[in-house]
Amino acid sequence: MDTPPVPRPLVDVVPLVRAEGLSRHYTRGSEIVDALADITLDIPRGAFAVVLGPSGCGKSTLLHLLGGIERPSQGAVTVDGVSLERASEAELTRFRRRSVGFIFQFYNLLPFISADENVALPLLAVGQARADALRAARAILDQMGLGARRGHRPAELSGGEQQRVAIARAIITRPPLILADEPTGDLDAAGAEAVVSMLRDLARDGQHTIVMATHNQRLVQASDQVIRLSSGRREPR
Amino acid sequence: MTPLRLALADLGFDRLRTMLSIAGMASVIVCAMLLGAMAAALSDFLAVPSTGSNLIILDGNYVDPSDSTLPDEVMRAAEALGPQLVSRVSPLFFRQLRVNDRLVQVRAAPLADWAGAQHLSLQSGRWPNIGNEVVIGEGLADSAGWNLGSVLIIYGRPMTVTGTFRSPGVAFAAVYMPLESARDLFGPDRLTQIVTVQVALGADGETVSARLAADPEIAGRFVVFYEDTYTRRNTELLRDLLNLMYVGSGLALLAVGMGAYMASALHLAERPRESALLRLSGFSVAQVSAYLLLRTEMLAAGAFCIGVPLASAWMSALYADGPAYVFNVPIRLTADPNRVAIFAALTALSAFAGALVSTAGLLRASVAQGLRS
Repeated sequence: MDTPPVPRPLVDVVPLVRAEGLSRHYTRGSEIVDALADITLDIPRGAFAVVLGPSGCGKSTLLHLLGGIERPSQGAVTVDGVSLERASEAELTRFRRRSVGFIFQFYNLLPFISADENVALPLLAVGQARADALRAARAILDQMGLGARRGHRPAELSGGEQQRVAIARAIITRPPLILADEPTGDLDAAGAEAVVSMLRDLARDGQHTIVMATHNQRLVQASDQVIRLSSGRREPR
Repeated sequence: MTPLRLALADLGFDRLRTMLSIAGMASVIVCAMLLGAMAAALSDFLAVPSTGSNLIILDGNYVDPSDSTLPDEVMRAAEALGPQLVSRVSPLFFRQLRVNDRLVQVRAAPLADWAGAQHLSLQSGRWPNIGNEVVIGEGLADSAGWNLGSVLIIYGRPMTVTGTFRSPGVAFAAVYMPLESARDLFGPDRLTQIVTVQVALGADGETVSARLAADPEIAGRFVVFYEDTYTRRNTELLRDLLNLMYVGSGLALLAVGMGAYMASALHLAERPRESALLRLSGFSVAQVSAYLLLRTEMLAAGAFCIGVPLASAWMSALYADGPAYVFNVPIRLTADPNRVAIFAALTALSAFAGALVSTAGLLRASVAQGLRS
């Protein structure tokens, strides 16, 4: 039986996310492109942080580095006690299983399995029994009002429904950090509002820290912390 | 979700692509099976038991021994070496004749030499009596559909089949009759085309061969071979063909591996995001690789399950109207269970190798790279 969430203080002594001098360069032919340069930030547990900036400013790259799906060229990033820049592939896999959930603009669901199987993937990846994993997935989908759509494949769902499935997948293992990359970018106003509200609630219950990348200034109002990026650099507050 | 379930779901989702991949691999497996069966059949035929140090003497001026005649002096020269060197000298009558509308080798030798010098072993029935009786090689029985009791019209005379024999070399497709019957049928002249010389136990074949080659009755006109060498020379073309079939069969199996590689590489190239998403969801590189390998192995298994029955059906169809012929050698094509098992293992192995090569890149690419694709 689920216990009610315990409210947590917004500012911890040790932040959940800490980045120092974080940089990421890409090589394009003979040219070196600075996607991200010298980013330093702390994000406390339970925060709803917004990474704000125009397209191409490095928001997605920053989220990739915080999520351990890309390695920094320079600098250090520690999330939930794991130093990602030094972690091996096996350690990064463990980190992704335990500490982070991802939500994307275009949902990124596997097209060949059903909604509930998509949601159950993170549990199945760690070896949980299929029946148990699906039961847990269906419970979350029910909470999100998608109980009747759980057997549908992604192509049979609307954009808003797919995004809710993606959110369910991101939170099913109760990771402390949820990274959302333009999660409302492909949704209409009502859908976008619902998703932001859902993410805000997740942060509010104290179990999740949300870092949401967006170029939408209006979403700043819902946040606890704003990280502004411009041309790969952090702008002063 | 286990890698197996993922692979099943994936293959079931894109059925057309799955079927096309399976069909492509199955066609290659059919080729490999057919070439393998032909190679095995030829290999059986060419597995000629050694005839030891037996020597044969023929006319060196003719390609086809049936065109030549060896005079009695040749036999006498061989016999003159004495029992310390030569235990038996056996004349062989050899003709290519039309028998019941088939071109057949008809051979004749003294009955006493059949088991020894001629290496014939009776497989069914009995040896013929002198007169109007013959035995036929089991290859000929197979290819012509002749049985014990069949009547063959040889040189205008009806002769009854009393038995079938097995023999090394091309004699398996021949008709044998006693030399006395041949003399009665063809006349007493030109009855010897080949002389077989059995080297005495303990004697050195090289010495006997050299003595024969130097004999004034033989030197210059007739040639002396080890019988094994002569058989090998006659079957050289078949050996080349056999090697080609082995190479072809091997290449076909390699093509299965390449097909697996292509199927897997195409999947990764077209849908890199899916592999990245699995890793993003907590699947390890090993788990994702296992899913992709299983996916490829299932394609190969599907191709094998279609390819083998198809190849077997094809072989049966080929054999329905008689055996397949390769350079007049009747070839019985069969889907031998052992060979099928070996092909299954090789198919699985080549598919595994193909998929492994294509998925190795997974270890190098970051999840973000896959997501950006």
